[in-house]
Amino acid sequence: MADKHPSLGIRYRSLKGKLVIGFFATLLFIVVFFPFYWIILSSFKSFLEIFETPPKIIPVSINFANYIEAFTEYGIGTFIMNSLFVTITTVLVTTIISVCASFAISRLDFIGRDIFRSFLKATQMFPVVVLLVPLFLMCNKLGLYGTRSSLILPYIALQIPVSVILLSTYFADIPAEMEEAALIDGCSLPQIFFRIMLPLAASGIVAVSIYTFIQVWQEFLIASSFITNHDFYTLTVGLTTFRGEFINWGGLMATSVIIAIPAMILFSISQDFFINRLAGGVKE
Amino acid sequence: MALGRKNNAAGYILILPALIMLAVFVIYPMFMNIVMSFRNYSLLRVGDQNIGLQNYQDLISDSRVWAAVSRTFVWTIANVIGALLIGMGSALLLFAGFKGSGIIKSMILIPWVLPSVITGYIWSLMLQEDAGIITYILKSLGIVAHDFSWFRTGPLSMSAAIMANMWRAFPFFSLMIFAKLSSVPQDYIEASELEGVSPWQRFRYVLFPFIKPTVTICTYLCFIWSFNAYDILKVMTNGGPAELTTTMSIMVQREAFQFYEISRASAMSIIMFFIMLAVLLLAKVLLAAKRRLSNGR
Repeated sequence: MADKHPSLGIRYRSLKGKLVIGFFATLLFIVVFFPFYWIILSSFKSFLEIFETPPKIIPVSINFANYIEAFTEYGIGTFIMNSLFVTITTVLVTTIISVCASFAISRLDFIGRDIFRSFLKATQMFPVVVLLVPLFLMCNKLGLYGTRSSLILPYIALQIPVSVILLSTYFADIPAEMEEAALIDGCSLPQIFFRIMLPLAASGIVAVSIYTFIQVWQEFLIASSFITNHDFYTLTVGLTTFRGEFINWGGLMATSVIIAIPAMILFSISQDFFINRLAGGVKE
Repeated sequence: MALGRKNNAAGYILILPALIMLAVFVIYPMFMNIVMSFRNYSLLRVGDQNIGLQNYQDLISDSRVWAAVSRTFVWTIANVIGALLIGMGSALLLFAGFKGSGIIKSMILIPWVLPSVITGYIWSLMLQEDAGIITYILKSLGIVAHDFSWFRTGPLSMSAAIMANMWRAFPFFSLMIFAKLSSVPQDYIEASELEGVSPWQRFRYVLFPFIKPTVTICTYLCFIWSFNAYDILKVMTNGGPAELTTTMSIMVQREAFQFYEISRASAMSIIMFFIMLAVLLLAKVLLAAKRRLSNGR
């Protein structure tokens, strides 16, 4: 996109200007990417190498001991399964509920539609901390405290508002002629929904599910407050097991790499959504 | 909207599941929280009763609560200013364009995608007392003393956590502002170039008026995110040393899940919620008043 603005002075930029921009561009590059490099590098370092001064900036050897130890001694395999179970269930249910609701608010006219829309906008920003105590009491009463359901149910509710708002922009983008034509052909509402709307909004549905996945995958506040049993730890909570008398940084960083990989892969799949819809598309 | 007629029933059926989930897990808990805040429920005692405003009176007269409120503001304001300045600066840089700006633009969001807990841990590691790479560089350049540590005093611990949080937050604002900059009409920029204005003047009089609404949204977003932030502070400082980085969210969580004072935690979270609403409302009123003033002229 930046290339479309040559008149901003790229062509006529002075040497001083080039140097200033080059300096800040390098700085920005280092600031954004260095911590990632350091996570990966540290995940290959032994306990002693981590505390070595001066710190080694170039990897000496690629040593997978930390990764192996994370599985064998810290049992992160269980945490991975828990995180996958909680996140995937949440994403599936949230997406199904949100697709229905967003189709309704963007393609149907019903009394109270605008109220529902503003209600979603209001709940979208609701701070989790305020709901933490009452959700805990509810889960206690329902006998869910400490189970994975005590995470899944609040997660679904907390993800629905954003998910519906984002999805409704995709449904709203579908031209009205599509459904008019379908109506003339005698399609019923469910047929229009399943045969026309869902396929047309498919890319949006995938992107929004990915967004939900990334959000739920990293949740920590509720998970660390509600899950006390080691066997039900999710990955973000599981990281705390690397903190004992001292912190096992190597294992912690290896696990961090494992946690980050799915989020990064999914992000790269739907980069366009994140860059243009989510960050670029926020309307005043 | 071809389906726009007589679809009340279909509309209600489709929004019903969403409505039920939100009613049960957001709206009802919110009311329950208010009710709880008027009781003296604790997991350490049997039985509880209505004690009216007692919790609120206790909290308001507790200097530790006020200290947490002021720390929340220090944390929030520093994050908003820092993340927005860096976000705007990097957006202008991307907008100016350079070799590789396309790559940075497509990758800049990854700090925001990285789980925040990991952000907390990697910054803790990089800022560690001896072998932390950042501390080590600062020490060898002689910028800080040999026995320097980020995590011994309140202000330094707070700065460390703020750095980590800013690193995570700024890319989002950078992209938002960049997207807005890209929509500035080409004529405006060309005209300013013909006039031979300085880069600063171009920013101040051509670009900034355009991105101002986006910057306002970013400010709101960053305020809400930072005000309620928990993960990074919890991981990096756990509210310490000596409670000097304990913000409201850390305090609420601890009150409920470490001290088991459920009702007190409820009252605290309600106070926190209304402080946040009050600030947002005040900002809205002030902005509206300012707009009216400048339109009146």
